[in-house]
Amino acid sequence: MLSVTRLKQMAPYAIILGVSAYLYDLARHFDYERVPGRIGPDAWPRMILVLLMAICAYQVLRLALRRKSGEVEGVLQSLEEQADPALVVPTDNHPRLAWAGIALTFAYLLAFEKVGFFCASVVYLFLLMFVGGYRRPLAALAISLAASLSFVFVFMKIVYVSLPLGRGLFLDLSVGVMKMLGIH
Amino acid sequence: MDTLHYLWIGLTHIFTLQDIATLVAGLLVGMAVSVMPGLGLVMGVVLALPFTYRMPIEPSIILLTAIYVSGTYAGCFTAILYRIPGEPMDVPLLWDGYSMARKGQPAKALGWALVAALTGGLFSSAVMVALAVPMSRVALSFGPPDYFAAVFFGLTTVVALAGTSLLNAFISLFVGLLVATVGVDPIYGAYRFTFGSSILENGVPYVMVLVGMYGLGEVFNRLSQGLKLHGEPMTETRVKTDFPSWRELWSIRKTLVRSSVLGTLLGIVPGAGATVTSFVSYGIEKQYGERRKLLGTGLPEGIVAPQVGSTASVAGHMIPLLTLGIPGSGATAVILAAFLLHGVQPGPMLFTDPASKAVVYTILASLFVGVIGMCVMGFFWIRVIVKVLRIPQGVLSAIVVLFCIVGAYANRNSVSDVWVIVVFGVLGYLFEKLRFPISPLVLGAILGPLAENSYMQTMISYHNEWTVFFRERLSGTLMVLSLLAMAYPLARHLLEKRRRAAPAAA
Repeated sequence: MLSVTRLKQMAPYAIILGVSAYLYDLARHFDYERVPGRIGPDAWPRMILVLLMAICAYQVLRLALRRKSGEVEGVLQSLEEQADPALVVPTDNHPRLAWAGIALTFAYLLAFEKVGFFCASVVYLFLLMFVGGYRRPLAALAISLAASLSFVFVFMKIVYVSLPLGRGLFLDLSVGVMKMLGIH
Repeated sequence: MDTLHYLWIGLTHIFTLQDIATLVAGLLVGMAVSVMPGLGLVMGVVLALPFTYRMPIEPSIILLTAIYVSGTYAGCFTAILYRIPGEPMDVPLLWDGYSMARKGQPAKALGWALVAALTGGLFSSAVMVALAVPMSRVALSFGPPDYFAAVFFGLTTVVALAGTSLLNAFISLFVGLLVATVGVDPIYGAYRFTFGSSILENGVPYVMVLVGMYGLGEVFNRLSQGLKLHGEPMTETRVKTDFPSWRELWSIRKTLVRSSVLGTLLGIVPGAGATVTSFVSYGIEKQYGERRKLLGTGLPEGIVAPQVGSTASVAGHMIPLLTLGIPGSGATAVILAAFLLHGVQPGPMLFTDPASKAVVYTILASLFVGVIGMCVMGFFWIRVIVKVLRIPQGVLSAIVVLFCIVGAYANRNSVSDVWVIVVFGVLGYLFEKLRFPISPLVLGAILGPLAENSYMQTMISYHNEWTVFFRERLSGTLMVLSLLAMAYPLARHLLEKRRRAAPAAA
């Protein structure tokens, strides 16, 4: 029986192997006008996919057969390993914070066009700072407002980017902010 | 003489108000981003790209190259003083730089780093100026097999150097090459991996891959690490620079020469970025330096070698970009994007037209002025620059994410580009967690189209005869070098295994 740890180690390779096999099948059916004697637009991606599948299959097998050898390191890794352990920078592990940040970013993008850049950014920055461990609400709110206003000013007034204004009430608010900043 | 004449013209251009202002701004931005862990010079160059949309080409490229060059230097301040490497390239500076600071000589360590950055930067800039025209002439004779072999060499080098696992590095590279195939194929017009989506028909812009992987991915990764700066407490009194004496400089002349040559040469190889040159220069010093056994205890050689290597790599990278149109690193890929946005295709033709030649030499001259400028700024403004570290990490990360999002949106005023960077940001985070190196993926996405086009053209021209890559003199040499680059880690691994097995057997 394979241990959970080993299955976890195998999972990324197995997923990439599965996705590659699916993409390989897609590549076989690309729609194009074939020229006799010439390779088609599927040749290059298929070549890459074959190599990708071969490596992933090897890694899955290696892990399944519990072979520790065969893992060749890059040149930089061996140099890093020679360093004094006292000088190696330690790191913490809080994956939930990263996933909270990712979820916030997805929510921000979903709201981006409906709520408008300014309003969405104020809320997003405030919450992201909170996730990042900044726990001074008033300062965070002030920074979120100042940063969002600065972004609106720089990108809409100087770089001429048409940032989303939102709809309904949010549109009125965004237009008000633009007028305040002298953007017409 | 022609080169010196154009270089003089470039120098006179640099000292116009617009160019010098963008140069100074670029140097400051580069220093600020390289001091902050989680930002880095590639991020600085990427974030500055939207600001160049409405600028003329000359100041645009000067701004980006200034960020690039100063980004290789300022990270030494925090690595030496506070044991906080601003970038991966600064990690070797911890070993001797921080050790020297811990022995009570932080100002001297900073002085060594400054001299190293100045030497490496000026040396490689001079080499670049000398090589630019001859290289552009050679580049004119490049055929599709040679282009393919050059790109192949770059890709195999980055795989051989990066990561904890060679196979993971290959997987990362293949994913990057695959990303580059998405969209309408340029030769047959076939739709590849578009899944019926109009967003994917134009392909995945590599700048978005860069922003996602290096920008958002890095922020998500740092969030998972709790956004803490693990280092020494910051004290104001230690922040100053003491220059080494001439005698001390003379004693490490071999290190200076060795690392300058190595940094410039490695810089020319597509794929070997400043981090690679920094580590390799340190590694060579550890292998061949006169005091190699004492390295890691606070020797000047251990500061000079990686710092010279990383700064020298910048001008080295500009050579293939300007003469062949091949970007060898993330930062040069963004500079290439800036060129293309202004309707200029870098390559040998840049050196044939007098007008574009003047622009190129202004960019080259800006590197000389930039290297000197960053050292002057580093000497006088070090106290101000390290204060960037006082910005709370949570605040900084939030603003970086917003910069990434707005920068991606500004590219085509499209939310779909923003979704692309978020997807690559998540992928970057997962890659980091699963110990897949990121740089091969990014380089694969950047160089993928060039690799595929030159491969397809070769196959069509030579009737599917793949041995042509080995039969032509230039491409054959590069292909053999590529195979050696791939075989090297494997050979080293086998030798190491045998060495470990020998005492056990005895």
